[in-house]
Amino acid sequence: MAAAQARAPEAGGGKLAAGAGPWRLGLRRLRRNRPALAFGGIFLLLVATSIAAPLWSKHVAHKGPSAGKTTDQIVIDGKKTDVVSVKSIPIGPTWRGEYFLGSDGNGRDVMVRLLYGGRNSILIGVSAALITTLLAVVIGLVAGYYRGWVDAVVRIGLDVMWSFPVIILGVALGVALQLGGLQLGPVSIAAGSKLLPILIIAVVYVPYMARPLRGQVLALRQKEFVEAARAQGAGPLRIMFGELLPNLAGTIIVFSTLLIANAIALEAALSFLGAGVQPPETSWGTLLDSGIERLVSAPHLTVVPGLMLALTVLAINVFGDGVRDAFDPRAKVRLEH
Amino acid sequence: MARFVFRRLVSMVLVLFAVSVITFLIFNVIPNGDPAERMAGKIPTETNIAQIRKEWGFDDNVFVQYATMMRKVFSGDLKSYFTQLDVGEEIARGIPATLSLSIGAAVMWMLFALVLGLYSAVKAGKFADRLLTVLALVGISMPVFWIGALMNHYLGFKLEWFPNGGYVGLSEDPLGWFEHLILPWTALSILFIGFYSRVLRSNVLDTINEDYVRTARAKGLSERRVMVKHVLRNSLIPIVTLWGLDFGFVVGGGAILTETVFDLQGVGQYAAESVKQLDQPPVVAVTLFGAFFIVLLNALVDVAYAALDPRIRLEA
Repeated sequence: MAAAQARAPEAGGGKLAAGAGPWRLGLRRLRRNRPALAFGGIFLLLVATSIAAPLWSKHVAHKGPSAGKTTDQIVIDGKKTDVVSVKSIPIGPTWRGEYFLGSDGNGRDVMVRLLYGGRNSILIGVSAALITTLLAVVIGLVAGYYRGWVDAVVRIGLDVMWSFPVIILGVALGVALQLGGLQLGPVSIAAGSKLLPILIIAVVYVPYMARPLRGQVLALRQKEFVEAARAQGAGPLRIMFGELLPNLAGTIIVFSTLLIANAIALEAALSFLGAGVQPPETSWGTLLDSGIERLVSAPHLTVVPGLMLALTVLAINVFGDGVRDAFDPRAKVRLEH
Repeated sequence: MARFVFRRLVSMVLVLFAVSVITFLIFNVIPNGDPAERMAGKIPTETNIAQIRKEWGFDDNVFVQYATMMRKVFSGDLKSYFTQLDVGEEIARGIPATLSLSIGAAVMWMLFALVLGLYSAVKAGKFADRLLTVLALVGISMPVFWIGALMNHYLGFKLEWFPNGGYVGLSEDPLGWFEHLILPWTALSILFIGFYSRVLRSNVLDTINEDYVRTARAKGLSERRVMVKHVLRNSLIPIVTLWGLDFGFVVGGGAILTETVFDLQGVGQYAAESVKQLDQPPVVAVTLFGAFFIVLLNALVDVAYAALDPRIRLEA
């Protein structure tokens, strides 16, 4: 489906003027890709519901994300019901305002926690992807432009990072940092801060994006337009960011979109192993972690956050595929967790 | 060629050295509490802590500590700070489970991806192709530990079709080994099947338009022969490359989530447990173990490529 769609619009360019730039062509192709747009819309909807978490918490559920006791009761069909039974089994979805998706083991409202968890998952995923993109673009440009020993140093650094078992590195960093926080000169990040998982995930993914960008820069800098810019007296900064960067835009957009999906998935994995978001904060990963422990007595605690996570990642992946077909159809973008 | 292999080997050793230094530093530079204090137990006394420091060499400077640790890694008497168990033995104990999981899953995802990817390409644009594309995207998007936990719970615990987690050695009970691994293999494979089948599909569609395929058809070869001999063979090269890299990645720690969810007691699970206790020696050793497989498979893929394509040899 994807490949066929990517080819068709090029063949039938239609009304578009012959001189239309790559941006207009790309946007046009993306607009025609209905499934990609639909899933992009789903992602925006998920973002909106997460932002609206306090509204649901205040007006519908009447409970904050950390509020709740095991002795709480709600009225269902005129009967008072314990949210956590005597055998310490939390109730499942009630499909009404309070405890819409049931309760967790501590009598907290799963729907409210899901919405607040989504805030952290999406925030961490998007911020990490942005930081990775920034780092990778700078590294790729500098290494590809200067070549020589700069490139050699960067390549060795990326090779080393590439060789680390990603999850073990992430978990080791996460656990070590969560205990004592991070002090690097003037920068200090408190233990338990959300910045830690963001930075860890961002750093771990840098080689996956910096390597292909460096390769592109190496090829681009041989082109005539770079020579022309240099002849006009443009300095290295101007050539890197004014001339080379715009030519990388397609790859950057495609990579950063798909990176968001991967970063959200990695955050969940880190939280599942206890190295991501720390209590009392929640994310879909921490909800899954505590849910899986209670899988036998309360499967809804595992099913619900997992579905949200999968839906979000799916939405970004489908949209990202559409973006790739539109802006960079020949790219073989590859990321892994 | 020999020169290329030699250079690749040297860079392998250098990368592994850097990995060991960084892993060691993560635990020494980041303030995460004094291991001696934690090892001294619930009621630590000053003399007790001082003695542990001396005994385990925490008083030495960083370089000496690193050298000591690496010497122990290679002589095989590295001990955990907390369980006092021999790290080498613990890793060796986990290797059969980790390799069984990785090799079985790699075979499984390759087979399924070949069949589904080829079928999808042959039926490109039809309903079957669209359905497979959707399924592949869904498969790629599901967290492996989530789908694993659900499979283990519903198919293993509730329906009792499969054993509910755990690992049985191949030599002890071949059938039990197979039964215990079906669910973990499937859970781990789903993501890769989705990914590989899509890559293969697009490769096949690219190859089908090549001139030599048209020539093969024109000279009257059967459709089956054209697909297998001309199209599939040429579409497979990138997939086999990925396979090598991903296999290294899975053995080298990529299966940590699957092992934990299914309680397979492999190397990855050992790593997860050690990290939670901030137990430096096993974490350094397991990271090196993982990095070794990743670097090795990367090098093998590079060498195989260089053997096939002389341009790569000259460039490097």
